[in-house]
Amino acid sequence: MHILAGLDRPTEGAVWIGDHQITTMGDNALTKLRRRHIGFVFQFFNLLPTLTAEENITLPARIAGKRPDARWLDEVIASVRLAERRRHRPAQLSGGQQQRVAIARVMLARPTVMLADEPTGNLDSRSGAEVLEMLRRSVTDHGQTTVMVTHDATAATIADRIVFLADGRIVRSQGRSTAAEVLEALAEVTR
Amino acid sequence: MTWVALKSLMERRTRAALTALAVVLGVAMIAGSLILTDTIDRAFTNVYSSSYTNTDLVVRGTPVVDGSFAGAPTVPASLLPRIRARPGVLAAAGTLVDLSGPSSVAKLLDRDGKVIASNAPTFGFGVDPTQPQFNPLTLVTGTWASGPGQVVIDSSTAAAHGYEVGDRIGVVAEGPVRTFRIVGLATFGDLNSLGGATIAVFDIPTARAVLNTTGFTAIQIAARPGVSSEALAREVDRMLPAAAHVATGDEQAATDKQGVAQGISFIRGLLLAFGGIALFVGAFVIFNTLSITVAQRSREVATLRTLGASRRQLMRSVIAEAAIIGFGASLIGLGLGLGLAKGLTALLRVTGLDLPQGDTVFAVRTIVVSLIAGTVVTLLAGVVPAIRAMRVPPISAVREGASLPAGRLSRRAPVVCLIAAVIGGALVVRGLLAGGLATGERFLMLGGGTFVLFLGIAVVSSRLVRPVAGIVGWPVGRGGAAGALARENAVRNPARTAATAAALMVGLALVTFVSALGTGLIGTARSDVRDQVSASYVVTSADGYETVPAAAGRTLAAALPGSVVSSVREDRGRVDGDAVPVSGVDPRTIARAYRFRWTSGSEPSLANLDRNGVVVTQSFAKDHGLDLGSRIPIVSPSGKRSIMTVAGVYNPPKLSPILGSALISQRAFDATFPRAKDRYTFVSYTSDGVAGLERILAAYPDTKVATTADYADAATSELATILNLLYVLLGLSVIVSIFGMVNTLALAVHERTREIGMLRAVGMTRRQVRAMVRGESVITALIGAALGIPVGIGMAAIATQALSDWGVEFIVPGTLLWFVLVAILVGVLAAVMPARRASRLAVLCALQYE
Repeated sequence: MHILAGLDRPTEGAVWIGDHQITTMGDNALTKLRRRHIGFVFQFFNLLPTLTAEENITLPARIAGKRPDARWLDEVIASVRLAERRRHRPAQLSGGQQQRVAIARVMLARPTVMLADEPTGNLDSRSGAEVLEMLRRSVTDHGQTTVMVTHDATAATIADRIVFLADGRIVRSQGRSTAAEVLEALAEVTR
Repeated sequence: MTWVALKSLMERRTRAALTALAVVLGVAMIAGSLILTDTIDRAFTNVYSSSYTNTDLVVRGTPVVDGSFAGAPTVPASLLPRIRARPGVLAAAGTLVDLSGPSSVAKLLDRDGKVIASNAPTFGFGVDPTQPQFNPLTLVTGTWASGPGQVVIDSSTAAAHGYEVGDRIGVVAEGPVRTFRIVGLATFGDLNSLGGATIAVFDIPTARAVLNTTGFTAIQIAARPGVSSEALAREVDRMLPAAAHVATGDEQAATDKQGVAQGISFIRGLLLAFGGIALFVGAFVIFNTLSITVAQRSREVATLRTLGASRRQLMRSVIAEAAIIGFGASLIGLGLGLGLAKGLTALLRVTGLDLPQGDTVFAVRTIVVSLIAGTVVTLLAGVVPAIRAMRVPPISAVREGASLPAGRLSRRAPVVCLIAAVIGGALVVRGLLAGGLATGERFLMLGGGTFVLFLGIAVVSSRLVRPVAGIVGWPVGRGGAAGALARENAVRNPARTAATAAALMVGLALVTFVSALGTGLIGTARSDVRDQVSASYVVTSADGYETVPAAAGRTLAAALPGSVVSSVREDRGRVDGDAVPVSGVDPRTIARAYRFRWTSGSEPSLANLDRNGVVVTQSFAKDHGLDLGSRIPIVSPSGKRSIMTVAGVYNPPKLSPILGSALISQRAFDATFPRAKDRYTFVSYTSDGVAGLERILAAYPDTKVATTADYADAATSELATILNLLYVLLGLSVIVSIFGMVNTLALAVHERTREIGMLRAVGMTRRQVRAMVRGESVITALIGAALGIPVGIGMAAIATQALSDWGVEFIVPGTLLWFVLVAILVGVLAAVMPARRASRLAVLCALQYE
């Protein structure tokens, strides 16, 4: 996931995002690419504690020196159900709400790919379910390509395609599955 | 993007404020110094220009010898009617008013018969009350003095010492005390106070008698309307004798002010230097705080990177943070500077410099310089942390405890900085030792060298933290688990500890340097005096620097027939264009009061002084290529020229010689030097001690009798005062370094919240937590002392070496022990707030802290 996001460099091989091979890019080019093509949802949310929810959401746009589209912003905030929480700081939000802020932060930029690294790993099951629903909705309603890493079979059920990794290798790939199917597949690949 | 930095700055207000304080003090010092010296300068300009009110032209005597105790020669009184007779002259008046020289000095006595004022001027003026338009003084009550028994004194002295119109007051000038009746009170110009100065105003003939002079010190001229002052000046110039010149009032005021202006710019330079040092120390604090915050926020910074922030944007945001802290701090510092200017005035007054006061001058230059200095220093300190922020890899956003990559800089830094420190040290040595350098060049070399030296040591010291902490931390580490942890914490991040300690190091190194050099100078000066004077008692003027009427010495000699009483006249004479101190000694008695160290000639040579002989110092002989039998012309302040033959060469200590460069006989001195007065009278023996001598000198209140040992102490007391002044000024940079330590500790506590929670969970008491933080603080401070004190001693040793020509001995003062205590105190003080915060962390919250 880190290599995919251009956060880390592979010792061999190449990563392509859209038409760009990111493994050979310099820092500046990579920065520009991140702005346009990559959105990251972290396990520990990684919000800026000094900024409000809305400021955190609009941060990437402002870093890129762009004015966020107000209507789209409202839509994104509504879709993650944070309209009441726009002016709250991360410390005043629950874990689930913080992760929804992080998702909205990505959605606002409409990147080529959203990468989610164990987005529910630090949440209770109810908040986790809400976050997963948001992620699924952003795919269904807005066509947002999303790659998610998870250990949680339930979380995997929202995916259109599930790729199983064991010890750093792809061992299996299958389409939309139920939790039971995922668990079964897991049991098979780890046997 | 920068708004993120600003926002977080706003959020972390306390930390930002603490960081800013480091700059505030330095800027306040700079602003305060400028405001203070500008204010003094303006006050003096007002004083000098008001002494020539309504004056188009001034005729004044031209000094023959610069810095003569006799002042500039007067202009003949006969000139006044001839000037008045010129058709272009509307009015002219002669005065005996000399603000810049010793020509019109008279001391007032208080009701106990003691001389008023010690370090402020004591003026004795003669003014012509019939020409009020030229009079710089304004009568408050009573009338102007007219007649031999009358005086007008300044109203602030009258108020301070309870004098009123009609009272009788003692005045002492060129002879014994005289008593006058106060007929009026006056003020000078538009200033209430000439800064502790006393003024006695007489009519012209009385002033001449009191001051033992003739003519006028100045003739002030007002031109008729329509007459150009240039033309009139040319006309007047043709009438003047050789030792007089004519100038416009403004020109003359500027000339009069020259000496004072030099003094002010020296004080300004000195104070600014200390402001610069405080800023330099502040830069360490800023550097450290920003470095730590960048390190602590590396995850936040990395997140920003993953969100698309470029390296340049991050660097810019750190720089912006520094700029805002710097600018904000400079603004506050500027405000504080206004207050500090008043504080500095008080400080200078304590050290005996009572200066005239006027409206506070707040020049645009002060604002610009202060703001730029503070902001630029902060920005420079922010560069390295900004580069570090730039280097944070995006991957740190997802990695717990990701550390910053070691840059190329930090790998090569120790070598580069060691070289820098050596170059800095070499510059300091060269600045001190090399001959033939311009003063500016020398100071640049010293300042630049010291700067580079400290910077180099500061960076190299990160390598020394571990061993030094091992030694100085030993006693702390013995204090149980908390102490052992404190020691570990202190060396956990050596670079950070080193930078924190470096701030204190700079202050302590300079304090040590000043202390060691000062102690050496004072000790040397004191023993020099004792070595030279063989008499038991020394009589000087009350302040020790002025001269006293020769009659005082004659009175002593007459009263003590069984003793050796030898008085020494002193003034400056001109030899080959140089003004040199010339002493008039009594050839028959001087060798029994003063120990000569002869290079050529011997005690019997002194007999030749009565035959136009002169005894010169070795360095004077060398400078002027003289030998026994050489002939030199000496020009006295009144312009008289005598050819003298070298009868002997002696070699007094260079640092504090008692006698002048050229010694002539008292008889020759009295014949050629105007208003001859005594600098010293040595008394070899008296059965009644100091009190007995004081009784004999009752008519000369401006004298001070001391045993030779006491005199040696008094002669060096001014150096001791200056030393204390420097301690106070350097104390400022020590205070700045305390803020730095508070900052570092507070950030470290913040960083280790989880760890402290863990320690508390496993049974550490609050008291132990506090002891741990305090221990770390004290170790850091002691590291600062362990680096700073040796550096200071080293610098003092080099400086002493440079001054070896002057016979200065190198003394490692006992006060150094105090500085170690100061360092411990600094450590304890700095830990108070962070330790309290650490001990109050709720255990559960600390453990959950993310």
